[in-house]
Amino acid sequence: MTSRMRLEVLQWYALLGGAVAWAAQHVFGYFVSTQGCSAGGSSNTELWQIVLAVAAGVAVCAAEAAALVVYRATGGTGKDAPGPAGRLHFFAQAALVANILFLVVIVLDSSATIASLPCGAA
Amino acid sequence: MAVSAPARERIGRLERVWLERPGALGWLTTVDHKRIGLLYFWATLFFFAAGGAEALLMRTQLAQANAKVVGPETFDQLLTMHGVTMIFFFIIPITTGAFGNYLLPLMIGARDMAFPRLNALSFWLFLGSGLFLYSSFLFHSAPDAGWFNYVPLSLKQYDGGLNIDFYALGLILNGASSTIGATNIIVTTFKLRAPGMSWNRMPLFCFAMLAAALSLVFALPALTIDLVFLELQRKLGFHFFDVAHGGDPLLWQHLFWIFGHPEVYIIVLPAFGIATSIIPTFARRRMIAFPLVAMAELLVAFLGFGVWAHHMFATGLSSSTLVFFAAASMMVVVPSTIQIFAWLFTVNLGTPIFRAPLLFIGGFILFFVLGGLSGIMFAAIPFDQATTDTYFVVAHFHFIIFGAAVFPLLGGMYYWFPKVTGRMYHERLAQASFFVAFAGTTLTFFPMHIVGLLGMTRRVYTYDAGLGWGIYNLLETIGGFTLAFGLLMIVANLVWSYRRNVPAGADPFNGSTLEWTIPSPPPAYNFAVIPTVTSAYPNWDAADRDHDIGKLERGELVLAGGHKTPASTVNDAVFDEVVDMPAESPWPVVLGLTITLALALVLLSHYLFAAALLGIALLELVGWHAEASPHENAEPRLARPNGWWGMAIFVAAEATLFGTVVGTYVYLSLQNPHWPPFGVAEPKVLEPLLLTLGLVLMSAPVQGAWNAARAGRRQMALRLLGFAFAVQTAYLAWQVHDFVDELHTMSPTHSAYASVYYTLLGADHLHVLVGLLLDVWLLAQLARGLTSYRLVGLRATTFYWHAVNAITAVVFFVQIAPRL
Repeated sequence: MTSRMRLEVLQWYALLGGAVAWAAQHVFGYFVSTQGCSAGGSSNTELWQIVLAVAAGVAVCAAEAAALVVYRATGGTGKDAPGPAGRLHFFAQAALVANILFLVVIVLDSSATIASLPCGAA
Repeated sequence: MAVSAPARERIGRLERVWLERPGALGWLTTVDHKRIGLLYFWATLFFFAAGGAEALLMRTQLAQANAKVVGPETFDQLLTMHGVTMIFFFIIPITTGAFGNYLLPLMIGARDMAFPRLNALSFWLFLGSGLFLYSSFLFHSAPDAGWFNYVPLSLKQYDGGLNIDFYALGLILNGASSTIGATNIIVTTFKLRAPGMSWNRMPLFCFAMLAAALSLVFALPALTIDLVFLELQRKLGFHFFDVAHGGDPLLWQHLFWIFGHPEVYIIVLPAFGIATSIIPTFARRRMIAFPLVAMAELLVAFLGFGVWAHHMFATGLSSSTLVFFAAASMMVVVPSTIQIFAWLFTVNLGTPIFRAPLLFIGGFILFFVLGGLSGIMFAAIPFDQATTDTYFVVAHFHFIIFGAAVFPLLGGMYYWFPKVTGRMYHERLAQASFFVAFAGTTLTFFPMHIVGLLGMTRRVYTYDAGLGWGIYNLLETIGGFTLAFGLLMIVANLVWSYRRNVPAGADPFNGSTLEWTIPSPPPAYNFAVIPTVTSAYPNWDAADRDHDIGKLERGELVLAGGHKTPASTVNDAVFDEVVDMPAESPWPVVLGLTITLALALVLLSHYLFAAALLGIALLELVGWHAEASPHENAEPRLARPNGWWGMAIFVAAEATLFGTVVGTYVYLSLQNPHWPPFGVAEPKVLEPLLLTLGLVLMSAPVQGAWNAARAGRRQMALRLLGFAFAVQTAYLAWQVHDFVDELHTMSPTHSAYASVYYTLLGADHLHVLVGLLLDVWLLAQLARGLTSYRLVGLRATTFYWHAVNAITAVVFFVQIAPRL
């Protein structure tokens, strides 16, 4: 894989990896929670929630790292530079911020598990 | 701009090529994005007036205790139609349909949208759905269960007239229109950006439109499926929402809000885009934190999909489930705040001129902060539960939906009025109209916070005296009429300014984007030469504009030989190919009318006549796709063509639709201790497995047909496609036989399980049928030779079949799930 191709892959992973990881944790976490609280559902869903949160968290951290690599590799690029360098730098900047938000929301999503919230209505 | 005689000749040729016929017929057959944008503008203003009149009637009724202006039934219809109209027939279509259509191609340097005829179809379907819905008043059957139409209230046993059917069918048609429009916006943004406009050089308005369009494509399927479920239950007795048969009324709410919350951002995002157009112009500097604002626009749209259940905090969902949605609701504030700070710092660090458009943006920011602050309160579960269904919620969402979404639109109307008409508006009257509208908005919606906290619930048609609500309601009503007066001042200003005819020139505000580089109003062909772009503020790049004049003199990228516009690569907007765009056509309006009539027949349960009309619609599609001037020699291209991207977005929407049905299956299975219910035979495995394998394997010959056609081997392509068609037809025949056979042992009205089962299989078979129709059309076309158009059609159809095969495989696993 050439250096350019490597940066392309890293940039798209940086931009989309965190988003997909959070979406997966959010949707599957919701279904696991619903399953745990449904009639006849499993009483111990905490392990699944932790696995989901850790897996998503690792994926987001990797996306953040990828964004950092691309950002540094395109460090001297001006904001109006033509693609692909301008675009790589632009999306890397965006991903650097977005992935931090995804990491925070994953941690917040996990707070119900950490706090062992009950199934009863709030 | 002084240009030489040859350049003038080129411009003259462009005018002749792109000019459409004048008069009413011209408007009916137009495919020009600017004229379609104007059609959307006038139609949405008509619906806005209707929705506004409904609001004023309600406010008059509520102005004092125990008033008798309208009765409870009429009030229910007014409040439902007000909500439905403002959301589906005003804000969404005016932002994406009017502003998006008119401005997007101008801002990216294109001559039209990617699919001009689909663009026209989108408008006619929108108009049809609006007239269909409003015709309900003629039958005294306007929708009356609130804009979110909760079940069981909207089920047949509680609402037996046609009211809810008008709602459901009208919104299905409206959703189809919005999906087509959104697909067009996405493909246009992906493929028609002027060469050089890589993502980092695309104006923020276009990012906002892209984010809104992506949200529409992925959010609407949930609403569409919800409405289909509702109609199947109301008309045919299915059991999606019926607890006694394994259904769940909360399913409606889940699906509605999976659409409904992203829809809030669909409404607000274009407003963000308008703000990010107006602020740099009047602050006279570039936007602060451009990449972060672009990211924030996309992120708001994305996070918006994860917060749906925060509308359901009071429904009794478990605490552990609600936390997911509280978390996402809090986090969505962050990207919104990034934008607010970016707007404020841009104004603060610039040298702002507070003309009317910027004043409206100032009002927008204030209202957005106000509505946002009350919004974040709802992320706190206990607060939400205490204020659910009170006027506090009404106050919150009106500050967002009116204050934050409509104020930028009003600013945008003033900002682009000179561009659209070539005439200048009256500045002082415009500023006065801002202050009146601002005061009216505040007076209408702010007291609702107080009256909500005092306990006044939403949707009540009257209230008793002595509750302490009267004075606030009176203030709100005075505010409502003040606001209406402010809006009338804007209309009066624009109409008077149009008649006054003070020339505006091409660029009265020194705007930053490409639309300000061309004459006002824009010529039919938009750009005499495809513009050079080296930043997100191309009108401020004087050297590039000089370069464009040089290109025009040399005849470079003028493309005056026909309806042509360049297409570029998605990532970096590298020039790829010259695309032939269709000219004006009667098919969109004819097809739109046929589909609307078919829907009316479904409403009246005349299914056979409706099917006949859909057959006619298919014939119209054949006429639509007749090529005026086939191009035998397909030029090699770097990237996938527009047609492929259009199909990809369509398939993404369809996959979301199937995902929603599969999600429904899983959701209902979790609500039922016995799934499938007792007495239902376990599904067969071997036969569906073999059938599915047979269909999935047909991906190979379909792909082979495309490969052969691309290499110019037409006969081989025909043989492979013909073979695939034969097997696919046999597959469908067998499946339909099994489907009918199963109906004898288990009716769809047996249980919620049976309802979902048959809906899923039926939807899959329908998609296979559409694929077969595409095959027939392609076989007929390829038999007459290979053209560029047909190759794109084959490529798109190949992609369609791969997607349908993948979906069928998923459906198979769901079908046999009880055996796993």
